[in-house]
Amino acid sequence: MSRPIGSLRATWLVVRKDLLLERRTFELLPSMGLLALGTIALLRFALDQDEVSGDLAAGALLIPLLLAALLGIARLFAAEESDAGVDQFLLSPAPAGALLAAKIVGLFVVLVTLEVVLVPVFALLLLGPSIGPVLPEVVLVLLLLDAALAVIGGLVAGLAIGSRSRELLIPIMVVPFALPALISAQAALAPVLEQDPGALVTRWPAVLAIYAVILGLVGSVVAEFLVED
Amino acid sequence: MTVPSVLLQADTIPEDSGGPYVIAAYLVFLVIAVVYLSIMAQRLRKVSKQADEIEARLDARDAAQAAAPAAAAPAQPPVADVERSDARDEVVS
Amino acid sequence: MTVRGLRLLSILSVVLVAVGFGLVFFYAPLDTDQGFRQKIFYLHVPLGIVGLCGFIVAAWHGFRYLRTGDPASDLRAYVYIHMSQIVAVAVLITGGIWGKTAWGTWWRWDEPFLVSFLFLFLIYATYQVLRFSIDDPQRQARAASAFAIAAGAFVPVNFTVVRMANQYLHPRTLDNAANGGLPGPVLVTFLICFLAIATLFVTLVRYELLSKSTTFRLRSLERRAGGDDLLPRRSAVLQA
Repeated sequence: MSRPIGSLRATWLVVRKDLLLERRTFELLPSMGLLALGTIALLRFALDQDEVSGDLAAGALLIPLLLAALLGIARLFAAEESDAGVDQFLLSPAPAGALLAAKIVGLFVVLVTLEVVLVPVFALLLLGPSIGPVLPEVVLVLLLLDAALAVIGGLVAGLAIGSRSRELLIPIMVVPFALPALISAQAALAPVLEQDPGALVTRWPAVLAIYAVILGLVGSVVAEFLVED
Repeated sequence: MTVPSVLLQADTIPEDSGGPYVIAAYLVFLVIAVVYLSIMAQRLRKVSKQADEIEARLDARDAAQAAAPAAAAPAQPPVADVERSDARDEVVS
Repeated sequence: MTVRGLRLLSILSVVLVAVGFGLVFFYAPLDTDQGFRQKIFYLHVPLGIVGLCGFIVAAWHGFRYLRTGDPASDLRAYVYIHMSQIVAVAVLITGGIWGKTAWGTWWRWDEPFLVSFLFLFLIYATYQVLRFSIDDPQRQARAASAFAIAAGAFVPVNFTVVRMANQYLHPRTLDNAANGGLPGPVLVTFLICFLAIATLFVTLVRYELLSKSTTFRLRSLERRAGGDDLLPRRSAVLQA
């Protein structure tokens, strides 16, 4: 019998395990990046614009991000599903909620890593105005959006743990849950991407943060019921 | 005829104000609600009648068994079987 | 609730609906701006409110299921969501009719109430997909209850965000009903219609619940008749 283990420590261990796994296999991030890049190329022609700004730019940045996030969310419990990892986790002394928390943190890290590459590429390929002057605002909004998407992703993937049609279910559940977050991010980014640093309306980042917190609270209430035999 | 009377008595229902759509919405809603309610009521009545019948027969069987515990296998099963196949169809429909 | 009580309730709801609709057409005055088409308001808005309440009540029952593990709570959450889904479709249709008559288009993105309902429809449409793709009955009930809670929390956030985005993107000068309040006859008609539709909703929910529980009773009697009363206990909804 090993000694009881704290939630934080358990969460950290699972996050480290997942990130280590991703660093060794390096399969998820490249796939997400390729999908996002392909979508940017697609948007260039779907919108028939050589460069975009404002509303269109916000949309053209958020849609590739959402699609890439969907890939990541669908794979969130991949390691656990392949060899009864959830059961093994439950056999460990770690609290059940820590697994979900770890998945949320891991997804957040993955999304941020993706954006470190994706945002410059987007600015280079499609964005009209220079991103330099508005970078702090963009970073703030994207970080909050990542937090919201990570919580949504963790919750939805947790709901779908025992489901037969996971790959079908996850995207159709994530998209509606992500709608308020995407609306807020769009409204926050659109004026900023007109290259107007003062244009950020503070209520939109606030809405993103509140949404993430609300869903996070729901997640903390239901986590122990989702991560169970 | 509900539509004409409504059309006559309601003050004015100009075509361009969407009168027909509005009336259609109310009528469709009413019809669906009434039909749905009556279907549910009928189905419920059937199922609960079946359940009551089976329960009565089962109780009778159990009482008979209790009264004559030494007797050999009682001859009730066919009754229950007939009821069961009926019930299955009902639940599926 | 007994079959007799349910019959009374259904008669009550039919009567209320008839009275309410009668008031709509023969008592409520024609709107000065919108004319006859405004009358869809007495159907559209009560349906919307009742549907929302249904989703919230479902979240509450989902929460109770997680707390107590009582399959009846899970069944209630299921039935409430199921009924509210139907109501949500009705809200979208009546909203479309209002849009068609008022502006000549079936859909407008600057109507926050309608857009919010579209999002709710999208979320709750996945409920059954989630529920019935999980084989293990206990896990199914747990996931469905967690979903009911998460989606219930989504309801107010969704409305707030859509309304805010709408104000931000399309500022509107006129907000009907909000300025000055409703005139008396309009208010009375609205309240009676609301009561009628709420009663109808409750009646339908009761019917579903009673019909499901009667079906369970029939099943268990069948098992008793067949002598195999040893089947493992299954989730309430899965059996139905």
